[in-house]
Amino acid sequence: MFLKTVAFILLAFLVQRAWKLSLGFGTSNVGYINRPGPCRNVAPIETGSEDIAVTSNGLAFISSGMQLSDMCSSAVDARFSQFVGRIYVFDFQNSKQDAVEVSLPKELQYNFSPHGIDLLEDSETGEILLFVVNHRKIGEFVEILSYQPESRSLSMVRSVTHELFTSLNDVLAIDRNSFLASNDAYFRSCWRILEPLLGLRWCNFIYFDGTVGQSIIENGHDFNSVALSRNGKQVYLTRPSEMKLEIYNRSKGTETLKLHQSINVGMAVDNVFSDQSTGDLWLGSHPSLALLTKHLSDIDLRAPSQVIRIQPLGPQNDPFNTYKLFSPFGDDGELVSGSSSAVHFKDKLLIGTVAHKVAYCEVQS
Amino acid sequence: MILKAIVLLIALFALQRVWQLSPGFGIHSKGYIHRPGPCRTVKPIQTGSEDITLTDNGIAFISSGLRLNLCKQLFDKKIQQFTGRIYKFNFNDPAHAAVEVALPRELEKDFNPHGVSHWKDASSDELWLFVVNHRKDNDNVEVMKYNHELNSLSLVRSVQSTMFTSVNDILAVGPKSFYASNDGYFHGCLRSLEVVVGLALGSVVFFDGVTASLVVQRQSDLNSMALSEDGTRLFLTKTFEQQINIFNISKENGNLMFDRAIDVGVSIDNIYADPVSEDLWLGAHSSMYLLSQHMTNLDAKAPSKVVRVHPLGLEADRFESYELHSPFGDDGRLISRSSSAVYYQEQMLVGSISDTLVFCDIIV
Repeated sequence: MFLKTVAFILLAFLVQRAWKLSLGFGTSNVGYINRPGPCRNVAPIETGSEDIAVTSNGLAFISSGMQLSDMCSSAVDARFSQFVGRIYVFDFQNSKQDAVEVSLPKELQYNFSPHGIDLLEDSETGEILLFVVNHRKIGEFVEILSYQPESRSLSMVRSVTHELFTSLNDVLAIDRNSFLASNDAYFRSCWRILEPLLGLRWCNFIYFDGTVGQSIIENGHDFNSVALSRNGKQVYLTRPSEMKLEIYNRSKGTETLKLHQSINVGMAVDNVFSDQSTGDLWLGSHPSLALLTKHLSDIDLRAPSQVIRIQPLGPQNDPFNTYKLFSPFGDDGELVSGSSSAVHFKDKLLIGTVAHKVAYCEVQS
Repeated sequence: MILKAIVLLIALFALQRVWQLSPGFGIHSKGYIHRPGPCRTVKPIQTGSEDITLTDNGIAFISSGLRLNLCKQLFDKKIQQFTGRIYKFNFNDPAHAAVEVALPRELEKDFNPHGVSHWKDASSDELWLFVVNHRKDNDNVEVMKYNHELNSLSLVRSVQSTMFTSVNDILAVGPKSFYASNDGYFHGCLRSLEVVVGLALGSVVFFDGVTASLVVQRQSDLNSMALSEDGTRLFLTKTFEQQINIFNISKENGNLMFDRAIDVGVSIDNIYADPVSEDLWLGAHSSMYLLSQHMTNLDAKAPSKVVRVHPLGLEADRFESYELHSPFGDDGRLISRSSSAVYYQEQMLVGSISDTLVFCDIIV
């Protein structure tokens, strides 16, 4: 009798987990092709363009070559260990040019597996500071780098690591020394698979003030990408497995965050870009996490891609109170597989992927 | 012991049905907005444009005002007030509104149109319109002649058959002959049971001008049909299964031989085969869940989607490989529950079950 009860409870739990997981998993989700205008790949990027940050002048910095092998190597394609971590720069204002590799500081040359990226522009000096999540062999780091445009190189400003960095995904720069960072899991190894399966909530969202790091959101799971609203009052956070874009009200200074709204976007969202000119949110998304997982275990298998734009229609103090969801770009994986990010600059779109190429599109419709 | 076994079997069966129905049901599907170019509604259509048939010179005939006779108690009462009509839209003069076509007198008080098709005589330019009409008592196929000057239809023949159980779409293959698809057996509220349990009571009937014969039997979920450009293949949509079934047509007796199935990944409704590119254009519902909500309350918007299947295979087997495009998507505010889409010279018309008709210029 007791055994039957236990078995029944276990079964009920598994069914519930399967149901919750299947919604985001998208086992039947197809990648329909649709374009906002003419689209093409940007040479020479072929081994990923996971995240993209753009300056106000349209200079895009792309993190490339993330080696997922440190994240359960038996589950991912062996070729990931051959990927070389790089930062590329692409100029929206000179879009016919290829993306150009930026040279890294010596410390990072064989020690670079970049993930989320953000930048700060000093309005007076024009200096560009890059904040890059780096999955070093010895641990999780946020590298703060200064961009030298003449030599197209990055110099190391500061390297930050912390015991709260369990499995970093994205970073949001606050000022020269401080930032917010998201953990997408607790384990970095194969044990991480247990976390969504069992619904474990062991992730933190961190504020590093330059000296001290602290959790500002605890007991979560799957914190993915983070961006800031135009007026700095709201922080956007994506939750891929729940297909959500969360909006938090932010207290500047203390960096306390309070959940204000949750938008169900209808598919697994990855990185979020906050368009400073329109207030729109642009999301690189995965119509099928099932196909993305297969693509990561064999890079030759295509994974569908989709870009979603959330247009705010609400008042100034609550812009996403009402909104519209657009999908200006979709692909079956032939042009770009596994789209993880999308940035918009003056009617042009740059779409990045976890382990594949980059697409550049003109937006005509 | 037996009782437990029966309960378990029923539970497993129910689980399997839920699993099979759920992708098509799309509880969490969103209607993302995307356009191939500037789009607008076509006046004066507001009470449906369920199916569209397009002549080779760009004239579209649209069936409007469909009152589905399935469990009326659940549906919005406003649907029962709809008036059945045929509209005409000219792609060569798209700025013009759609124009109502005069119906034959016999049908003026008994017209509830569903699928439409046409047949054009290559030499004389005579045009016949075939319309599925859910008359008060039976489903009929009305074969009508179109008069260009008077913009009117005259009834040539009203075809009835005991094989017409619940006709959805029609495909003309000659001035007198056609295929008719039965999407099920039961009318009224029993139809819900048919869908939920997955009873295979649908069929396709071939009428050669004299006799009717069943060419596809014991199928569920059949919806719409189209003909390949060379007339040798028939495309049949299956809504919840999200598939297009391709059949080869027998020249002697019109029999259909199953060739292959294409998975489209979304609940598809009506199909149009573009004779120029051989692309298949489909009206689709990204969420059957929201569709059913819209049926009970027309003011609740339901998303719309158009899918284009572009063949990549060789002559012998065009759809052996293919690309799936989605040129149009809407959250329901411009058009709810898109059921059909046709293409003509970089322009598109999108029809809906009970809502507007949308025209788009295709610039992308």
